Amino acid sequence: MIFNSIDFLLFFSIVYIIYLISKHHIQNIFLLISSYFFYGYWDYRYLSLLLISTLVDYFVSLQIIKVQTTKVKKFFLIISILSNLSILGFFKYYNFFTLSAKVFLASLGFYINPILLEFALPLGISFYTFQTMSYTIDVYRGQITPTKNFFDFALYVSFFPQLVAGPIERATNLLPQVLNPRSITFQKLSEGSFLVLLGYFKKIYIADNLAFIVDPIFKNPNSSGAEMIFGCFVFFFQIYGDFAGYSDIARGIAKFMGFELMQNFNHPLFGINVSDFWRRWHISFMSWLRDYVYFSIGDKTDSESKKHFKNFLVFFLSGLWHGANWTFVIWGSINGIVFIFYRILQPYLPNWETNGLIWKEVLKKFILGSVTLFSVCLPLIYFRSTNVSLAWIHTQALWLNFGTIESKIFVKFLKNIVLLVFIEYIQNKSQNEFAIFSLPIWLRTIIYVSMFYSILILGNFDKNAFIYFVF
Amino acid sequence: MLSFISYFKSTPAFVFALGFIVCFETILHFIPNLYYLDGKGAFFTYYKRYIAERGEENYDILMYGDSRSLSLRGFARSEAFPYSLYNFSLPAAGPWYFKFFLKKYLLHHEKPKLVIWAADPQQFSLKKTMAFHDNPALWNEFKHRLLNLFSIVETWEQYEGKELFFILKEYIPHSLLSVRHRQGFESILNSKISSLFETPSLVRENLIVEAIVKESYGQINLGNFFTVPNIREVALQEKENQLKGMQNTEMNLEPLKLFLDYTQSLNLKVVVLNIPRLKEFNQSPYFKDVVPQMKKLISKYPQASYLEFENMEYDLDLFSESIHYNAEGEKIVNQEFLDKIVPKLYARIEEDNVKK
Repeated sequence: MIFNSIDFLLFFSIVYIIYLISKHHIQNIFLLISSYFFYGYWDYRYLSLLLISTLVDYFVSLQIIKVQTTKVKKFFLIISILSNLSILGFFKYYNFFTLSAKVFLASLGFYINPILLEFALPLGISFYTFQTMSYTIDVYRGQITPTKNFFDFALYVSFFPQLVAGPIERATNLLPQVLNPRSITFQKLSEGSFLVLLGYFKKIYIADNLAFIVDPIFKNPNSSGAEMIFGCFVFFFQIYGDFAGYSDIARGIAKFMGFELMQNFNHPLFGINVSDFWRRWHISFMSWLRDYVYFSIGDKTDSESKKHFKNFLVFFLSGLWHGANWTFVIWGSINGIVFIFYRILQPYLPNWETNGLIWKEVLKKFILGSVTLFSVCLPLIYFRSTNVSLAWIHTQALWLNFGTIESKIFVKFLKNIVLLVFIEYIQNKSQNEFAIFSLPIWLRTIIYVSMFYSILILGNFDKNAFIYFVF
Repeated sequence: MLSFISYFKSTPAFVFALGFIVCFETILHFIPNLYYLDGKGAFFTYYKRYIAERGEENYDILMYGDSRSLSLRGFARSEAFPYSLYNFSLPAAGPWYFKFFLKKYLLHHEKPKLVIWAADPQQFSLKKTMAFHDNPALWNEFKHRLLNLFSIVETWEQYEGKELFFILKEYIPHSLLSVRHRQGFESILNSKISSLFETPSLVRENLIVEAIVKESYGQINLGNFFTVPNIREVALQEKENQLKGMQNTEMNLEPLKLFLDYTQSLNLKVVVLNIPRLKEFNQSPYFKDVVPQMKKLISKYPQASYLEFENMEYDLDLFSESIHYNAEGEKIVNQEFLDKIVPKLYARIEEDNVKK
């Protein structure tokens, strides 16, 4: 079931009414059933994977807390990690690695004909496996006490607003909210309503309309270099609208039910360097890699070169996580290299003094922001292209066929994003995603009405699935 | 339980926005002929609905069919044509709705003397909405055919089970006029400021459609109305695709049976008219099989009879893309319709009693 469908609106209306009239314990059981229905609505057979992941981590975490020796604790942790990664590896990466091996062996003169799997990638598998793994690792590290109530734990793993595309919640944040009664306040309802409206605006109006600009550019092997650069910028907004839109809706509907999910995007458009950008982008996932990969393979005493290696590894894994395709691996690797370069050059970069002058401050942020945006947008050629050969053709166009872009498309793009950029600017300025609430009533009314009718009249209603569902 | 009044008091901008939206949607209900703002396809459906509901002119013969039968011209009563004919055919809507569209017409008009069923038998295979369930883009393209033609109550009557659920959930957003006419609003919002005071281009196009349909009593030939490039290679390709599609097409005479049952209950004469198609289609196993079955079904109904054109097989040269006639095809088919078919329809009307 996708958020931008009538099916979901009907589903949530029914769930919410029953939720409101139920007591805490019933609410949890009911939410668990609803979450399984939500997931099974797409393909009920894959519910078994969700259940296996849940069962393994539930029992393993209880064993970890029961046993005394570190060795045995580690053994159980490895069981959890291996089982989750096996599910992920088999369903998401089997064909990728098998085909890559086939090509590699063929280049050496060995020809094999491996069996390939022919089924759809289970929805949200990368999200819920990471979420359950983080739980077991936190239990192993002694950061949380595992819950004995299986149904509560199952709800933590499968909570439908964030089940298929995040945010990847930590047990430290979500589990206490599952275990304890939740309160629904006016503030949560207002914030939830705003986030839901903003989320649908980002998805249906921004992302799905920008797809009309992006798709032909990346499909055409003859696109010029200028078109590719433009296409990358537009795709950045598309994927941001798509993914942040999903997160906003997820957080909004969670707020309706009294839950607080973590903020997944902190206005990355206004990042002033690559490090700052990646701290603002897909926060739940990037912080997962930081906490469970980066910090697991070293400490503060690491040499600079080891830190660079760890940073590269994080971005490499980030690429691989996004999809079973070399394009994603290359995309992640480029980002890793760009990040390392930034780290190396950082001490030598000029520190522009603005002497408190606003125009200088604005200019500085604009220049730094533009350079940052450019350096994260350009690698998106590899993220968006369907295969490495096409991505390479697109890359070559940057110096072999620079060309121009049609001003009409550029104006269309600007018209599409102007309201979003304004809202993001307001939010980023005060580092408060509800800063809109402090604007004059008349301006807020205009913003809400504009967003509403942008969705209804100008939005793309082809029920496009969210891009991140396939990750 | 929270007090929603207090909630609204705490968020005045939401209340104002909501108030604005309610007012705007209400005002839209009082704006007449809003459907002139829509795209041609949606407008066309609305216009046919308007004719069926307006109750001004009673027609003697009504034709229900598909995008090809839409090419047959209707006519007013005159010395040459003592009985009038209105063509209610619609493209890409299947035949399931015919019974209900006729029912709608009868609510506002006198009973006609004869009704023509002119849907291509290939259309019988189409389930009501099933073809659209897994194809949102196609549904978005064609949903106005089913949603704009009937009210929600009339829609409810036509479906059951999974299809009822599908159509009703699609009706929910469609009940907002801003969504229903979004194509028109979208074109206004995207137009240049300088052109805001001019008649919107969609309105101008729809006025042309209206003039054509008014003059021809419901007819419009899609083959030459839309500028389909008349390229033989494209037509040949389309022909092959259609022939391939026919191999997997299931036959379902249920919609015809439904229509015949209904007209029998009204004691209303029906002619099932088979109209010319591409030669290769007509010679395909599908048509060789379906036509005798149609005739067998029709023979069970005393008020119904079967009629076909003398020449049922046209060459590709007479089509714009193998389905719809080009200008030449349109001319030939209408000539035969007026010269040969209409006299037979008149004779059928003038038979004293329905056949026993």
